[in-house]
Amino acid sequence: MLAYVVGRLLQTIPVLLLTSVIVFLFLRAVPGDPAMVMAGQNATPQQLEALRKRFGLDEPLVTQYATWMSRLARGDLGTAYVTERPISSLILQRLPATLHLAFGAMFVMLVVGMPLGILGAIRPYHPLSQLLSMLVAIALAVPTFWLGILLILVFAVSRDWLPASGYVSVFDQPVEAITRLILPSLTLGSFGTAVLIRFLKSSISEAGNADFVRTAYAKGLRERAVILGHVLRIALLPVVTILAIQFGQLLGGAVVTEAIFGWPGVGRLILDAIGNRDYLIVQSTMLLFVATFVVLNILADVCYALLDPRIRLGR
Amino acid sequence: MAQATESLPSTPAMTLGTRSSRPRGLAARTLIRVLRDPVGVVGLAILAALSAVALLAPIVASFDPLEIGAGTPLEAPSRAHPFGTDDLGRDVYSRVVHGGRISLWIAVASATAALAMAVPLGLLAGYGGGYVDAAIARLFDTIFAFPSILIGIGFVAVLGTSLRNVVLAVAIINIPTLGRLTRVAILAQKSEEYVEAARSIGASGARVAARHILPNATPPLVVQTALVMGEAVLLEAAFSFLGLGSRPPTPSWGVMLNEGRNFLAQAWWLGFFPGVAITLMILALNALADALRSALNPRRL
Repeated sequence: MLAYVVGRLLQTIPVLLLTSVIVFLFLRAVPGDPAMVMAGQNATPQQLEALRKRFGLDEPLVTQYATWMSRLARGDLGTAYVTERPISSLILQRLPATLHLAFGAMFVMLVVGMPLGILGAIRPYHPLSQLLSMLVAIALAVPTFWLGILLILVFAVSRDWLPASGYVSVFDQPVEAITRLILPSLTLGSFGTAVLIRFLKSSISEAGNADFVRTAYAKGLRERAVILGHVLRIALLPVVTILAIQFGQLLGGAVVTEAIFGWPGVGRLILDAIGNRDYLIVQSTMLLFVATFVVLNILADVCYALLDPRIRLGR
Repeated sequence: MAQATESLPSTPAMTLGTRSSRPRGLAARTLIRVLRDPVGVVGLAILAALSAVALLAPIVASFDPLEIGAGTPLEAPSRAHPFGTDDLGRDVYSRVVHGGRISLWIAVASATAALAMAVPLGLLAGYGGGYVDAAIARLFDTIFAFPSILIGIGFVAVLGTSLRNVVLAVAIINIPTLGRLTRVAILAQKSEEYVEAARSIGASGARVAARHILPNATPPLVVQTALVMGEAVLLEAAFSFLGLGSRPPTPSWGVMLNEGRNFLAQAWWLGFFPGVAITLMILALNALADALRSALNPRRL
């Protein structure tokens, strides 16, 4: 088991290194002089020189990269150009709002997606199951931002039932925070919910055709016992991986959702940074998102290996 | 697998530009199966209708999509303006119709660009093996680790907002899936006898890969290409919505939704019809992909 975890961790090192190089080159790939782009058209040569010095842009690329990496290793993401504040504190300040949103969406996925997916798979020919399939197909096609607009139209504009924007922490005002989270979480979580339902339906029906299921029926077990004890035990395992991948995608989707609902999260930070041409923020935040995704995937794989001995023993 | 029976020397080629002596085989049978599948018929019908409307936009549209004051501002849907008018009095119906051209173009261009980058990489990985394979696999892993919207955002942050950059971003996002599909197909076919036969009569590695092995990677690639096109439509709309793709006054569906967002309380139609158009197009492409997947399922051949 330890060997498996170590092996998995080693595999991610090249991925993270490659990511850091790509993300690093982002800033350097700006057409023209990055300092000029950051300072604007009217900058004096002295200002440009100062900027280059400050961001180390006058050094060779390899040195710049080494400096950035050694700072990163010490947890220093650099200083934002516009606000002159440490980027790590900017991200930390925005992170709670995004986490609220991501967990809200995950909650929607699990609470709506799991039961519907399982029921739909167990009774595939029930009319409601077929309706569910249609809804899933539509949910996979509806763009996140349009769903957000529709929800705002229905629940906030024509009926004054739920607030259309604004973020409050759960730890300050729990009730208010949850009412404000409903629409954004539904918006962000609907696609993942559809993916999960679709996945559960195929993985459960596939497991239902396995030999061990026939054996279970043959030895006289009731359907309920077969499904709970045999089919779901196998079919639910990959859900861990799906959730990890979806969580990574949620972080990206959060950029759009935050824009619709005026949500002060990391996604807004990135969008604003692009608007201000503050590339260091874009660079650091992206690396953070990718690292989160990679770490979540390792965690998922490790969970998976713990739950399913076939994997850690190499089939 | 039954797929092997399809991969005898006279391999039926489909869309990828490789032509064989009998081009009608698999492609024709697949089309028939898709047309017998209700999901496929619905998908193709919607897609055909949307494409026709987009291609004939100047004829179908009742106004110039950029004409300010085609009606009074924020007019509700009526016979003259079926989808209403926006805050500048532009005809929303005409704008939606013209927006279809942008989405369609993005879908085709992104899919082509994605295939052009992913397939050679997949071929190289599958055929080269060893270190080449490992290096390309890590590249795929890395791209896959970026949330897709972020790749696009990073791209336009660096290269500037333009449709060409949106196409490039969508293509890059889809390199891992398409590349892995190609690679797996190559690995499965590499040791087949017909490959050996082709090599033994002196065909070069590249020729064997492109003309003999690649056609066998076509079925999964065709399915994925339909999905890529759907994703392209979605991402173009998302980027334009965020102000990173098409720019106003271009009648892109994403731009229209972004503009309509400010008038939701007075004019629901601004936030409704462009979204219906996006959803229909993606729905059609997804349905087509589903129908193609079951039509090309090797177990059915």
